[in-house]
Amino acid sequence: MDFTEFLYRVGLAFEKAAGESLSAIVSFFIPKPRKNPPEPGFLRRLLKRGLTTHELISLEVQLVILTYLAASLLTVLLGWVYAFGVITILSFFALRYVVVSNREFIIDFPSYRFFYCGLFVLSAISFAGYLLLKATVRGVYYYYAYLIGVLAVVLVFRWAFRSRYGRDYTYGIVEEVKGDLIRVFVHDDIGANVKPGYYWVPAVPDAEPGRIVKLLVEERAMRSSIPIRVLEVYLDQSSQTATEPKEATE
Amino acid sequence: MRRGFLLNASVLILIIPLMLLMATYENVSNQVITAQSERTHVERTYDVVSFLNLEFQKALELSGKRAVVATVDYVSVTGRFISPSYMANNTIRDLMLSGTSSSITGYDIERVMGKQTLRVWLSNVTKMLAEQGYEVSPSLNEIVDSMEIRVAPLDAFTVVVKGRIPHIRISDRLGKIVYSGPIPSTGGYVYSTVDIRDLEDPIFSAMTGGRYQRSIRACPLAYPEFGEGPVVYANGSGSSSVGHVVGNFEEFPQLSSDLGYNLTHVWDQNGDYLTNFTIDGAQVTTDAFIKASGDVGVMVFSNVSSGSGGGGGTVPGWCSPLGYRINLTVQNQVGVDLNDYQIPLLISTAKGFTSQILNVIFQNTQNTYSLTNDPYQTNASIAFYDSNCNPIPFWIEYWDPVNKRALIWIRASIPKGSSLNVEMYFGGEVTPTKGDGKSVFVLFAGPKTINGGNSREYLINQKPLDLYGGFAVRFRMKGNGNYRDWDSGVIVEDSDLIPDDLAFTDDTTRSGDGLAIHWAWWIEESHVSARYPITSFHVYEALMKPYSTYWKSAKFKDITDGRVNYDSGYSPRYWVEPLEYVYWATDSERKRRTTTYDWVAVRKYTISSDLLEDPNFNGITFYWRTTDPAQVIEQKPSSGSSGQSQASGGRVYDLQLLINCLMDQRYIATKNGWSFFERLEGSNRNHLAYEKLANDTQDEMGYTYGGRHYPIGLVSFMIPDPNYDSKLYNLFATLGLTVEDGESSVDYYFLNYYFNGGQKVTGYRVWGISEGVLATGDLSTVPFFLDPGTAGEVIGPEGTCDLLYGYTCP
Repeated sequence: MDFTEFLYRVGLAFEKAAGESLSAIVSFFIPKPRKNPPEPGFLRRLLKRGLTTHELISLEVQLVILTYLAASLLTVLLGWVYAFGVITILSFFALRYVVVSNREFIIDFPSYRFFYCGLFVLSAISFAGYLLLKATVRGVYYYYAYLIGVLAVVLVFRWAFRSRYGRDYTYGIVEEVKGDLIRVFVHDDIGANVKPGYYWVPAVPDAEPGRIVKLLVEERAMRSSIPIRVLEVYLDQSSQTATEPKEATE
Repeated sequence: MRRGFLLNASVLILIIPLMLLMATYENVSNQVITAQSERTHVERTYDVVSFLNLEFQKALELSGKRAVVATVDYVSVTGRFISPSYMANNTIRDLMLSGTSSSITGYDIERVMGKQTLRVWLSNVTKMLAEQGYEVSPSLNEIVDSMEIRVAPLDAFTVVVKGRIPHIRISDRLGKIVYSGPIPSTGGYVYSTVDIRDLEDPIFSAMTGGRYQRSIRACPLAYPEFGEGPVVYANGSGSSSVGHVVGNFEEFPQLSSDLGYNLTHVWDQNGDYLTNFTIDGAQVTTDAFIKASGDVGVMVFSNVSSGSGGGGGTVPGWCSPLGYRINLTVQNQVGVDLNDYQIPLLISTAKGFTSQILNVIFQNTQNTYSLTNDPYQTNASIAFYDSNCNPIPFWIEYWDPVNKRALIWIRASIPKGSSLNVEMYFGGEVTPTKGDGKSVFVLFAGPKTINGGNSREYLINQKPLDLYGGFAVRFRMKGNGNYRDWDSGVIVEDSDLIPDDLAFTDDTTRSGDGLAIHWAWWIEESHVSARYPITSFHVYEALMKPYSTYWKSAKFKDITDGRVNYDSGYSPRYWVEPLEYVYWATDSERKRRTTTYDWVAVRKYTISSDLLEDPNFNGITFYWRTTDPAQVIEQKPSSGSSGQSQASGGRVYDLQLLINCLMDQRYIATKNGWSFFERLEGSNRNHLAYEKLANDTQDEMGYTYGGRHYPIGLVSFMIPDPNYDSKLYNLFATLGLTVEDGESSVDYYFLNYYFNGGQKVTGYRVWGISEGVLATGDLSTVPFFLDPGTAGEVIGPEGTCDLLYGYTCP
């Protein structure tokens, strides 16, 4: 490889990198729904195998939100108003990117969109309000009143979400039958507030491995709901269910 | 993180208020910490500033006291006063600041000051604060230079130091400013007072060369100006035959000099008494003004009559049968004591007599003018007495009822700057008289006609006069014809081994030796123009003023026509005291010429100025309280029935506290006395400046007495008497000094006169202290004299009028 070729390759690599960077930046700010499931990237290595695409996207959204909340808290504590503004804008685009680009791969997309976007807006307004409060008043009771106000708004949001998207059931796939119990796999379902995972429920006739079942969930205060029994067995359906990603990878 | 799930939705929602709660917690904690930090900072600032405020106050007090003591010590030890130009208060300020002053030289100040200066204090405070982690700025020198320190008298016994540091900055180790501002931090001033009581009064040591010291100790009632003086009195009514009664108050009088008293009356053993006592118009009993039994007191009666005056009048207090009286206050402005002197009383508008007064006098005085139409030969019905009805010798030189003018010579004594009360009686009740020239003058003779001629002299006095000092020969003379050459007058002979005869002769213009002064006969002659005709009387005066014991300044005046020969070219002439003989004389070169003398009078003339010369005798003046004839001239009241005493107003004084203060050499505060600073300066040049300073300071501090300023002057008295001040008495004996009557005992006047060659300030004896008789003896042996100015402040105006012996109240 002579020197000219070396330079040519460097030029190509740079051109490629620049092109990719530019396209990445453009797609970050103006995302478009993907046609293919996203590459799991660094998360794949951290998590167990068998993670569904829906779960992966949900995790990404949660990470964005939590990162934003942590960063906002930091800026509020330090009183960095401008930093808070920049973080809020960046987080908004990040959330938007994740949500919009993956909309095709999120089960029950409207509920997720409502929840996370609402959560983000609430957070941004709450922290901005807090910064304003900090700049204008000193009495500690103003803060307590504000906190109560925020708590009330948050609870109203939660009520609104549940009344609109809340369910007391979810769907699962029978994985195993053992005596009078069956083990079902449930996806992350924000509408039913169920964590993804395997659950043991009393067995019902026809509940055979691979069949999709409709599960009754029991709510628990401040904790995730858990499936308690099978409501219905879908005999004619495979595991390709509404609770699964539309293009399952299993 | 199981299966990519972090938090469920509920928790995720609640995390927002939780985070805000966390932020609030942090915020509140931060606020609490900030508040605590601020409080700590404030407390620390407060501690440092309080410390500095307190320390500055202490430093002012300590350095102020030291500086005052150092200044007193300097003046006392070195005998050098502080320069009045630089002023004592500035000197004390310098010492406070740095321990040195340009007005103090040749003296080890640090011996007294130690290191108690504000500079050293500031240096110590800076070090102390540095140990605690504080830094003081600006530099030491800058702070000391910027300090505002004012030393002022607060009252007579207190010096006040007012001070502040306009700006000081204290920072901690981190450079954070703990305090920046003035000290005291209130922005005002710190006032620190120094009590000068029990300090040495520097003027005594300095003026006596360290032979006499006195400490400043206050009289128990030291502020007479505020009615808290050492003399108490009450007005009363009563009866007396004398003006003053001195004695010791005793409830049960035993001695003749005791003044008996009960709650309502004070009396003596001669029936004189006072009662109905009031103080400031309020009725009081004697316990309001008699402090204790045994106190020395004086009863003073006004309008008193002895009823036994030399004039034989039968009305008490009226000394003469004559129907009118005018009280004349004759003042001695000559500048020397007039002892047993011929004093001219010129009754004229030139001396302040108004034409109304002159009308009353001349219209009501019987006289003999119409017999001769010559005022010089006019007798008048007049008489002179002193306040005690003692007759005063007088002689009328002329009485001119037409021009309402008269010249009367009396013989009396008036101390320098003092005055004499003379009661001149006039009317028609007694035969007109010329008076008694022989009683008035050293030598009086006439009329006489001599046969003149060449070198003719006729001795007037057979016995030598032995008159020392200067003198004047006054005579009235005329020639009995208009001679071609006259040359008549008088000759005065000295007491040299070979007597020198100096002739004073006048001449006619035909010959020309007018008012000639020459050694008999015609040696070393000086003359002026002569007169013509010579057949009318002229009054002449030949003066021999005291140039020295052996030399006299001769002067010859024709008072009638105003000619004067100053003896230029020959004066002074060698002429040895005393005057022995006086001659009538004529030294014409021709015979058969006679001269008539109306009279010749020799009087003392012990001054070199013309204050006792015609036409107005300017050294003798009259004091006029009023010129309303109704008030100045009294008419003889009708005779009383008792003839011995009359109802009268009066006052009772308790002098014991003043006497105690005099004996104890204590100080009294007066407005015009010399303040402590003036005593350090040995001069009262800055009195007004110090008084203003004190008044301003009193106003600033709100330190007044019912809105009135406290006086700053101090007065103590010096009485060289074994009972009053044996130390001073012995010092006088040691130094061979004699106490002079009439020199004020006020310390600064006294010291100035006896030890500094200063002017005499005339003082008067004080009834009950240095005048009068007590059981213990004659008080006139006590050399205590009070000048009217100081008396007015110490014993009040009434006390001055009542108690100063021989002083005529204005």
